[in-house]
Amino acid sequence: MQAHSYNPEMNLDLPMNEGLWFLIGTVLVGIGTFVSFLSNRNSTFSRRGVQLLLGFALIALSLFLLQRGEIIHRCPLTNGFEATVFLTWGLILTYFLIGTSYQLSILGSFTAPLALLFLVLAGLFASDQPSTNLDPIRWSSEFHAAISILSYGTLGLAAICSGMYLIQEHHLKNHTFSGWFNRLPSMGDLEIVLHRLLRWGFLLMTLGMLSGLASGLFNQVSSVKLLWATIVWIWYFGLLLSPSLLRLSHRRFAWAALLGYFLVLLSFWIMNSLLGKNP
Amino acid sequence: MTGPRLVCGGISFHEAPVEILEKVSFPKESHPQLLRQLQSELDLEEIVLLSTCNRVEFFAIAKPTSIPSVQWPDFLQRYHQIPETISDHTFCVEGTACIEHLFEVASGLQSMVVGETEIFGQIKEAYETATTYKTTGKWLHKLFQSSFSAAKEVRSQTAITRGSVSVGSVSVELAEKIFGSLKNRKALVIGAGDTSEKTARALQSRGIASLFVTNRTDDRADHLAQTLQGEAIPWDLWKEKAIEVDILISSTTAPDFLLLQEEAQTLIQRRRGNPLFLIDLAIPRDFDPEINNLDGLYLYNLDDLQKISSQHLQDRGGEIEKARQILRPHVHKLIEWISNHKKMTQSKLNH
Repeated sequence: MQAHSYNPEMNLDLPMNEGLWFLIGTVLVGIGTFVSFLSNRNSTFSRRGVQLLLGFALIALSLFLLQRGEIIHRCPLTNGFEATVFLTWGLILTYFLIGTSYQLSILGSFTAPLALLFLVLAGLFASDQPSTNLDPIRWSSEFHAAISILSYGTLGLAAICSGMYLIQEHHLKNHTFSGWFNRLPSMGDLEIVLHRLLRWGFLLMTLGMLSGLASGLFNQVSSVKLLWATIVWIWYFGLLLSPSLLRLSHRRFAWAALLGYFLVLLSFWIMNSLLGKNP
Repeated sequence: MTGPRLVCGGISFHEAPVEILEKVSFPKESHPQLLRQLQSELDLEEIVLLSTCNRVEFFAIAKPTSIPSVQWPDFLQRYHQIPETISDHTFCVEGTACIEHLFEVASGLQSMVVGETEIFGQIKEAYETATTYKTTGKWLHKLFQSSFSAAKEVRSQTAITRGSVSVGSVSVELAEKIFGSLKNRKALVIGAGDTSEKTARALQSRGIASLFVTNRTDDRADHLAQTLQGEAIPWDLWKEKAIEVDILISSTTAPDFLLLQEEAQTLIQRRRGNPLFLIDLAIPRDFDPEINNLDGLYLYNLDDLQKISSQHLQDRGGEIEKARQILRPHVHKLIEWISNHKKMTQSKLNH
């Protein structure tokens, strides 16, 4: 098979440069964050507005990834910039695929700032040029990447839920009823959603790891990265078993889910920096 | 007559003491006959009668001959055979003031507990009764329909109904913020006090699954358990029972704490980290306040609950002006509608 090289002319038939789609996506997520935190509290209008803005941002980021994929002829995960945009796309997509079905429209208000943070981080890598002369990869490796990104998105939503739980818990523990108290759902409802998201995220992560194993991808990566990925997997496995094995308070469980996502992000960026141009 | 003469009058807790209010209310079953009687005695074309424990009011389209400000107190006095004069405690307004009054009453701005929503249902019922007995026409139909949509907008656009305002309902609100639905939750009432009974009833109204009652005197526990359709448990066993329940309500007269921090620590460990909501309604307090520092335990005492309730009332009060601003365009819209209909009727008569 031949290796593909970057040819700027291949992009000419597309209406906009992919960088502009990234910028539009970032601005939309930024406005979404602004609406979430600064608009009239508890208004259905603001929550629907955030949902709409995230929807348009998802389209813009999809177009970015599509055009970048066209240019490099593979899944756009070849550098830190692409990987971080892909991660954000996965988070927003999971919010629409799974998050909205839990009737927690407030979830969007928390997804927007996290997505903005990722996009700002991606902006730091924006100078990364599309990789050229890459070896072609098998569909199974791309499947592994896509499933892993979805699992990161789902676990990201779980972390958002944990954050919401901890804010609500703080209000109830300290008897402070201003700010987010009225806007946030009950701790009980958040726990239910958190557990479901963790189960889905863990399932997708396991599937992603198995597909990576099946595609022989793990033979090409360092043992450090493999070890880290295994630690993350064990962390979540333990977390899912903890209600029946440990006497963990629900607050500590939420903290553990947040920490788990921190490990995911570390593993994600470490993975990409170690992988370099060979995801 | 080409246009309506809109009048309303009444007597409410704003103007009258409770001794008079309890004398002037009308039982529901008397309304059909009363509507006709008022229509004839006060010279009214259309009428809706609203009678609740806090107010007795009528909204009507009056004939030119009608003098409701005199006829209304007179009617109340005669009907209820009240010896003293009550005209000082009644009110009567016409036109725009009448529209504004109904819109404010329907929105809960004139209620004793500002923002309560029960009045909305009571007005709806009064209107439906009047419609059934055909004492309403196109003017009152429009007036009441407009009041319903105005009140709905106030409820959705302001925080006037937000936050509970009694110890029982604040407890329920907090329980729902901790657990979500209360359908599968269990509560244990320690001590057979009045406030704990009310709180337990409030929890039951939200579908709590089981309720246990304990008291130092078994008879009182049995009695309260029977009243609440719960289960009485012996006093010695309540700490064991606390492991399986989600809400503990306590209102004993014990001079010392019933539950110390160390005991609560053991309790939460035996509950495998599941949260426990403790409602301490006793004075002196039954639960060691240090308990609130433990993970998974949420302790609220009577003072905390009363503070929340007062804060909610204050917050609701702060929404009144915003609510009035929302009502204003609704009032103008109705006045414009009445004026257009007046003109149309006039032009029909001229032709």
